[in-house]
Amino acid sequence: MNNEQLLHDLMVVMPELAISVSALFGLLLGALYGKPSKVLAYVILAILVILTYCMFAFGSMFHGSAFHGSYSNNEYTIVFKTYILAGVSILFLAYIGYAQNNISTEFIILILLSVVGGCVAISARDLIILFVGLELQSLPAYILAAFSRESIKSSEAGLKYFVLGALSSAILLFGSSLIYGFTGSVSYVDISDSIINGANIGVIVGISMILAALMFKLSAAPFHMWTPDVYEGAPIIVVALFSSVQKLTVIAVLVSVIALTLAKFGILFVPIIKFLAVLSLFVGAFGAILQTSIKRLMAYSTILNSGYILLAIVADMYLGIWRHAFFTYMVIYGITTIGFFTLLAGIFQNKADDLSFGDLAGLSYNNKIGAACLAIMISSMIGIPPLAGFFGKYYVLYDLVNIGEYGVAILAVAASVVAAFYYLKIIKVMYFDEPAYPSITVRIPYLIVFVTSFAITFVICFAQNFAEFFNNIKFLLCI
Amino acid sequence: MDYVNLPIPILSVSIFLPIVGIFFMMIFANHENIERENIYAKYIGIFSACLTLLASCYMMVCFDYNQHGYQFEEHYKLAPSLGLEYNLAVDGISLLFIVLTALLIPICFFTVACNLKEKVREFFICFLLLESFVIACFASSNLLLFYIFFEAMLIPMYIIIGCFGGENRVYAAFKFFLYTFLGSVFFLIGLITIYIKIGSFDMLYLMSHTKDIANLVPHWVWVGIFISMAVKVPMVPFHTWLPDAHVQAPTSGSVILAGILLKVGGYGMIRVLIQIMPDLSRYYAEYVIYMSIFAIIYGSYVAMTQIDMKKMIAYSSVAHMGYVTAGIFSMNNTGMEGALLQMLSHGLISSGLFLVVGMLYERIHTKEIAAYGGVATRMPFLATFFMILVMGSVGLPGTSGFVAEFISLVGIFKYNMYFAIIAAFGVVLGAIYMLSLYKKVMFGVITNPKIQKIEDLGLHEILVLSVLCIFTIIIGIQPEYILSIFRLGLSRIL
Repeated sequence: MNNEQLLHDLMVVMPELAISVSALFGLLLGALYGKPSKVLAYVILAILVILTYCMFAFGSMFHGSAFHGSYSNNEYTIVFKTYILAGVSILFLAYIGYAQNNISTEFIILILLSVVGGCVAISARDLIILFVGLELQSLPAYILAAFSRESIKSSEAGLKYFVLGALSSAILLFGSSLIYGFTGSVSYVDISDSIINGANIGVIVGISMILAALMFKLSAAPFHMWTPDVYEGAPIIVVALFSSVQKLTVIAVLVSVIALTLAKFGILFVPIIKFLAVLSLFVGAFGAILQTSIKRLMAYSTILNSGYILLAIVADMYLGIWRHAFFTYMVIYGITTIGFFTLLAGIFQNKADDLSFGDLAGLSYNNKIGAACLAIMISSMIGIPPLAGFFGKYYVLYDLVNIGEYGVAILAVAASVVAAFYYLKIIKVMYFDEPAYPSITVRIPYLIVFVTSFAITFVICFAQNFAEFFNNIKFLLCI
Repeated sequence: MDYVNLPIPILSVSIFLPIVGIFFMMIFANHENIERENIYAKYIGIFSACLTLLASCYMMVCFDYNQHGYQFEEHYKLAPSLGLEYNLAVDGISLLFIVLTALLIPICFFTVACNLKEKVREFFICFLLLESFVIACFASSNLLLFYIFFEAMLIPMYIIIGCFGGENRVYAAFKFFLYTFLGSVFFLIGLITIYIKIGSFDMLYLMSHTKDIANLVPHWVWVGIFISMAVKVPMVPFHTWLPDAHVQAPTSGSVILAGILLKVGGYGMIRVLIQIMPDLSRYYAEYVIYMSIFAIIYGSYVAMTQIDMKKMIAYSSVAHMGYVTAGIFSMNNTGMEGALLQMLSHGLISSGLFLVVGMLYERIHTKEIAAYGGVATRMPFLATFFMILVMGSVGLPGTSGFVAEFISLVGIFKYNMYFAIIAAFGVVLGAIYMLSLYKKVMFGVITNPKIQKIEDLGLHEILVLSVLCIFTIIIGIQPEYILSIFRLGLSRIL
């Protein structure tokens, strides 16, 4: 490998390198100074913001294939990475606002490492890199889930997540080894070449296993079991991370695996993924009805939304054209959940990690603006127009109707009606019930106010400003 | 075609005036003293509602009554890739409904202004939001925009019922929301199908392509959209949310529900089903008329057995809306005019009836018919207004109810004589329950000691009721003016 090649390769992995270096730098500083400082958090935030801007404005700088074709960046990966970094920056803001003087360096570094893993997995063009990326994404996530050391539930969440996550990694590895055994290669291109002249049963089984592992990370039913427990135990900012940025990563990986390895065999997997999608819709819709914990409820809401995203992916697989519906839906849902959790964290501060419906009771008396903002987010999740959530659903339904799947489209909207019931319960406790506690005025940190108002603005103004913007994102994979 | 050009975009103005009111309320109605805050909220709310009423009156004045097409058109592109455009326009059909909306909201505000003590700001914000959405719904000439506002009404209404309602309000609010939401998702899928087949959401474009729609769009789209409208109207198998919602909602909520929200369903039937899919509507018209006639008879019979005044009026709404749907689907001009007039007249009369019940409830704190009797001797003003409204509901000549029911019956007669004969029995049944309601509440001996001490209407209550009664009588005596406006819009449909 000559120098020029090396430089080119380094340029391709530059975003990941930058994040890794800043993570290590942060680790060093944290070790040196002992007491974590706000300054460090702000510096890392600034690095992230600059990086996001670079990806957004000069994304083509990082285009190209590196390390003998095992790693590549193109428009598709850059778009996803931009949004992932932007999401993480927003979450950092929320975290700094939420933790105030108790910012912990480890937390920030773990999130950064998890993001690096996600970015690597998105750009992966062979199964080894994919595995490494996904592991790097998951391992910090297990620790993050168990981050509240005093809470038993949090430890339980971390352990559960770890055990089940390890299982899914094992499945992924097993699938990869099957594929390697049958094709003699781990690169996506070779895999898709090997099945171009007829399906090879070993490869198909292997790919199914990889998809199953990814479905586990996406918490699509029937691989969803871990979600409610992990969400319930994990700290609230981590839950926001899991349900937004992490899911966005997994979707990017899922789509690139499907598009690159299956190529025209994608149609073979349509019935399976359709089944998973519909099952997720129903688990998400009916599982949540009896929940009393807000975080468990949102876990089921995540499952439901995974179902919607899978439906969008199904429509794309069917046509063989990758439209932007799955991406737009995920971004809308992600921003809404980030806003939702951040606001809850801001309003309830220390109690935010263990919220039930009872705690929200009568919020509209104590915190009128907070309650109104939550109500707007919830309405968007229900899919009430003209809020953003409606347009997300609209794109998915449009794609479904476009391929003639009327029955599935009707099932999807029926599930969202059932889901409306439990979302409305949140509005109900906030507005119709008497306050649970005497009125306490909490000062919501201004960073949290900022994040929430960003989310609210996005949710309200989507149709006016963003719908066209998302529509213009080029997805003619290219992946 | 040249359109009337106004210096100001009057439709947007009347849509956004309530929203501006909400902003003002959020900014200025903040005071440490909760009572002051409530007073500010009330003034700002009433003021912006009155401004909206003025704007809608201005719209009526500037409307060109010789023009059949859309007027006051406004076009802005929102999301062209979705087919979503901010297209507003009114014609003869929608004009009067906008005015009705703008009229009923201040009426609600005046009636609650004195009694409301808690959550005043939320109340006014919800109503103003609702007003804005309803006006936008009537004014939009883009199908997706129509859907957006059609659906957006649910949340404010949900909060109105759930926050300010009676004992069982949470149940009623959920039932209202989920029923209507389930209905409207079928509408959404139908809309997407239309868009995929035809390629536009623009009403004018769709109206000029009815043949393509008839060929390309499958039947279930019609059925889906019909169900969503039928839930909103409501027609009989889909009506069960209505009595609960009415009984539990606060008086002003019932007024809005009966006066405006039900009309959105009927309006949507004309705009979407008849205007865009006339062939399919003709195909299914017979079944819809069966359902409507069943609704008339069934609604009346159920109303007779009610012991709760609000529930009785709610079921009478079901019966009266039966005339609307039957008139619309008789698929001729007369029936359609009758249906539109019936919607308008029902909007005035049932709102009035709910207001009267609310006024009685404030004094006696019960809605049971049996608790009343002999009120007329203590409350002559209320008795007079109640009488006028009851007569309007029964369909006495000289009130708008008579003209509306008569014209829609003529329309049904043109479609099929036997249908008209059966439907006409509804008028008799209506007389039975409404008159017995009046008799039980107003006449007889005073048994309830509370009624001995009851006070007659205050000035603002008289004002509010007299507005409704005067309009009822004016329309009853001189319906031609209103009908000529409706005809302007209808001439393009059939």
